[in-house]
Amino acid sequence: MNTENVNNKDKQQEGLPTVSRGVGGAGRVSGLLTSGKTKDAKKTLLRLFKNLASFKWLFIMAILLTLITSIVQILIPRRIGQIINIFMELITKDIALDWTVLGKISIVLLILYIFNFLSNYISNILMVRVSQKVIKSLRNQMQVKLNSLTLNYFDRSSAGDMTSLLSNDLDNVANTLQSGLTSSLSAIVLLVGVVIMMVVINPILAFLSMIVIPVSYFMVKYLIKKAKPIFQKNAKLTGVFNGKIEEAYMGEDIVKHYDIADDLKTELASLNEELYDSEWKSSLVSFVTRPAGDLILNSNYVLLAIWGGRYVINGVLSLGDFQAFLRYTQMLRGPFNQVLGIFNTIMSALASAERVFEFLDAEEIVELGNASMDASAVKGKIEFDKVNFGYTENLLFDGVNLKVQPGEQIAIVGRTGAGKTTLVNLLMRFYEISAGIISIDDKDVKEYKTTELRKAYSMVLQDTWLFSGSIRDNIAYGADISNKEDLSEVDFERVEEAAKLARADSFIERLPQGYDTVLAEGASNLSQGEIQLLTIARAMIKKAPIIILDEATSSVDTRTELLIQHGLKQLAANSTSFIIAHRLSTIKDADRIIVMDSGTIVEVGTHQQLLDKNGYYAQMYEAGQA
Amino acid sequence: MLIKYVKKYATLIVGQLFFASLWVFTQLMIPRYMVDIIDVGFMMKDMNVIINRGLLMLLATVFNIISLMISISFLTRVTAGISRDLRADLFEKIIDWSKETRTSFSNSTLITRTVNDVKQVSNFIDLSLRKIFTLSITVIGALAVSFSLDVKLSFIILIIIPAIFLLGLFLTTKALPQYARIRLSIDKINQLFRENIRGIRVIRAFNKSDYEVKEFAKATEEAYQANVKSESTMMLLSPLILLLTNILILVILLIGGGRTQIGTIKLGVLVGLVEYATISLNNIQQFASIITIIPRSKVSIDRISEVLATEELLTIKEDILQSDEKGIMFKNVDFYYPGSRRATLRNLNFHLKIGDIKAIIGSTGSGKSTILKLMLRDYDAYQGRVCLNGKNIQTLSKEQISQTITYIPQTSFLFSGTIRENIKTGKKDATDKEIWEVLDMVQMGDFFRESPQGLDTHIAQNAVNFSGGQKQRISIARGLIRESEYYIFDDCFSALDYSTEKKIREAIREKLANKGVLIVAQRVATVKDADEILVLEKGEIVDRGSHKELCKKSKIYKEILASQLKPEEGEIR
Repeated sequence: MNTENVNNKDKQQEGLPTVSRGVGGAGRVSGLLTSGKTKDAKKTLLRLFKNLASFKWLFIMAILLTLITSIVQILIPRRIGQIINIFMELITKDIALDWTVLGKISIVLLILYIFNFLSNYISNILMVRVSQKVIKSLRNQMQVKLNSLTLNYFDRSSAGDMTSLLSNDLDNVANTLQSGLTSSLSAIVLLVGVVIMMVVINPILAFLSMIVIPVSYFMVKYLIKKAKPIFQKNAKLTGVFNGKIEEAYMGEDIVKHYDIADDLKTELASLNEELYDSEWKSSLVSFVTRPAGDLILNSNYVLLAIWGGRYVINGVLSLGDFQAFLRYTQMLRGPFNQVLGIFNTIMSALASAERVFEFLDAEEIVELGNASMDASAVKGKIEFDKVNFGYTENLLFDGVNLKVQPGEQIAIVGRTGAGKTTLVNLLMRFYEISAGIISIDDKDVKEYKTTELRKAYSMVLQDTWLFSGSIRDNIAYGADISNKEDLSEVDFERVEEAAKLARADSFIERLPQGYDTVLAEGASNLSQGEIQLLTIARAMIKKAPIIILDEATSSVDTRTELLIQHGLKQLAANSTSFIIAHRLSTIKDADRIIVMDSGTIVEVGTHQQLLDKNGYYAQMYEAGQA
Repeated sequence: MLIKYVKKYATLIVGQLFFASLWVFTQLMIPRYMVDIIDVGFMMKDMNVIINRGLLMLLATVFNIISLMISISFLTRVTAGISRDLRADLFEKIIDWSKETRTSFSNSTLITRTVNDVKQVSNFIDLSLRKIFTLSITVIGALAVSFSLDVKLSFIILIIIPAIFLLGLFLTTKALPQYARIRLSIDKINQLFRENIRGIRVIRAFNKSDYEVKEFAKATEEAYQANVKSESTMMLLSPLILLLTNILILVILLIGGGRTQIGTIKLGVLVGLVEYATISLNNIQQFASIITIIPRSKVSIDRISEVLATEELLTIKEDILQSDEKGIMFKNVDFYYPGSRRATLRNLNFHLKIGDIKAIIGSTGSGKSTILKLMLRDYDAYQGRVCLNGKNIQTLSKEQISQTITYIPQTSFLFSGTIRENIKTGKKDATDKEIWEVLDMVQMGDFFRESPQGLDTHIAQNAVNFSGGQKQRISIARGLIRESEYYIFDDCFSALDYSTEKKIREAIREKLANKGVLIVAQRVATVKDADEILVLEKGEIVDRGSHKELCKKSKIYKEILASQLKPEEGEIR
């Protein structure tokens, strides 16, 4: 793709006469169909320039060199015309060839050529550097931002939108910076310069050559508009076909064991035929719109040749000027389309930049304290004192009180939405409480830096997340390391031990590559139960004084779940632990069970106490549905 | 591999190449007319020649564009046609594969191969027919015309062409690995960012924010380096070739200009040569750039060929050993997943007959589902024998097996479409009455009766508009509507609450009274009514018997029971 772009650019720049070379920059024409909206273009532009500030000299240099390149390019055809005129005089007037004049022009031309080459190349690579530096810095800013945003932001935004900021919007900004800006600038200069040159050579011809360009431009635009439904139909059919293929492959068990493969083949064959039809039509249309527009331009070119020819014969126009004029006609095409597209390109890039900046301005976590934490000295006494909290303005927790003694094993149960996960979210300080105090060993958690506070916890979250990498690295991730390189420094014995505790060892060892098995993104090569066991192993390697398991074993069978819990109890006899479970059968042995309903703690006690109480817990237990 | 597919479109391709040649020819004629305009028209001041050649130019222009359109209309049919044929062949091949044959391909790679790789190949064919062909004949044609105009000056062009070609080849080849590097680093950047969003809580819980920021910075630096490096090379290409072209033009003008005086060359010819030199150099440079892109398509071609060359591993075998014994029988079966070091199943023996209800219980990963896979002949690579009604299943066709055994899978996959269409997957000619009957059995009848569209209720892709439990129930209904001798349920009650599950199990017991039923599950409640329960642990049957017997003698069964004890089961014990 890139090479083809270079070639297109090449065509626009050289400005030498070939009749059917076509309108350059058709990409720009299609660019007209997309547009962006900006709320405050000026502000965004200023901010973008602020990001450019550290490379401003490079940037200014690049812009200057672009201007020089364009001007040099405009000068060249006229010089060539001079040479041809000299030869013309030789023939018509039969005088001797003056090599000094010719030599002078040649040297000027040679200098212009070299100048053109150098300024063109240098401005290009400068612009690459500037734009890539800006993009790198913006990307890094986005990642830093991602890691300092409040979790409320993540609750509100979709992951796809955030990724799209990085992959689409930032790319759009980069492309516009890298080539759009300079090529638009040079297009304007070329356009103005060439028009001036043409008018200087012959105003009537200049007028004739210019009126037809907008006509051709609007014709191409019209054709593209006409073609749009064909493209859309093709895109839709492609989507339907790919969806069907995907379903047929994913539903292989049903396809095979219910004998429907032949039906599917028939269905897809007819869909495939339809797709074929729309595919060739849409690619035909996309190929043909440009030459169709060219037809007007090229015919006009020929007419200019005849018209101009008359001037040459009448002696109004020299042959050299005639040659130069035809070259200028060619040079006009690309820039014209580009200048028309420039506004949309820049607006769309600004809209992208604005979205990126909006992300960079989103609310961040505020650090209140800066105390550090000695995890080994933590006893594990935890207290919630009149805690208020809500994800929105509506409070979910209204004055929640809870005291947990060091070493206690606490189970939290309740229906979906009862606030079980919220309780641990607040413990981890994923969210800020609006009133009250949460303390560890009688010290308000707000006095700690959040990173220090989290040293106290080993946590397995409800959403099972593993990164793409080996199983070994994923478990080692839980250890206290701060670089990817350190993952391999984590003792293999520790990894194995953690896997054993999580009961993950037997399935890992059965995998063809064992601990070196590489997980695909989203760990699609493991079952949900296996993924959960790995996340438990990752938490086990951390060995923090407080353990939190949030529905950590929901996809694991009950017997394995119990075995894991018993293992935990032995290993971390002194650890305070919180277990959120959806199956009551596995938490019967907890020291205390906390029953929650719509943000309040409704009952607290041991399994037996709660059953005897014959309240909410006993109801849930009998229904067997928690 | 491709030749077979290309051959089918030979006529269209010949037509396309013909019109593409016509396109090149008319394009090359236009500067030739300009030569006449200058040399005859201008020099002799003959307006008629100018008008005459001008009209010829106009004609050539029109023909030029018409032939381009015709050649492209042929070409698009060729490329779209080859894509269609490849897609059809790939799909029909893949859909018939057994699980064992398919082991080495994930679903995502199969989708990529059927969709993206086919697209790549079609781009490759487009590039070869449209670009490579026209670029090369343009260069040859331009050279031919220049030689006809002036032999001596044309030699200069001829000499510089290979130089430009090599230069283009050299620079593009140098930049190509960098492009691969850019793609990889961009993929990495996007992947890290996506993962970071997904894992934000885990990352914070483990204090790994700095770690992630550092990793990301490495990837962005890599992208920066690769971009700067590749662009520094590629950006050199077009200005450099422009410089060389310009110098060549100057040289031609100066050498030729000297000769105009002595009359060995005409001015128009000189202008024409400049023109043809430009065309040749421009095309040869594009040619050099494009042929370096082509090897990239080879990856796609290879990936498609790999699928097309993969033959079904599970062939129907000849077997003399047959008996009259009815039922599904496992005899001394050992099974290893391809590439695995540990056995998934070891020394498995059991017999399921018509009228039996048997069950298998065991932990996550104990090998329960694998037993069913062998029964359906998803895999062949085991030791021992699996027999269906006295015949080794390796001697039976896929249809014979699927008509005898109805399988209800663990992951309840539903197709997008209506609920009626989905149930009909089980039985093509099912009546609405039959469909309601099975929906009632799985306790979904009322749900759909209350839904405004009834049996036309739409199921979205991946059935996202249904809960896990509802999906399982629809999937069970789809199985129950089938008619066969045996029904096997692969842990497909797991998302149901106890009371619903109980009702469904009772309905199944009634409907399938004179069939053979095998239930695989993790929950005791699901299996406790079976005639015989097999307790599976690490691929071996460690205990077997009825619920009562196992409650007494099986340690593992008792552990499972203890972990799930519910008041209602307390009575049974």
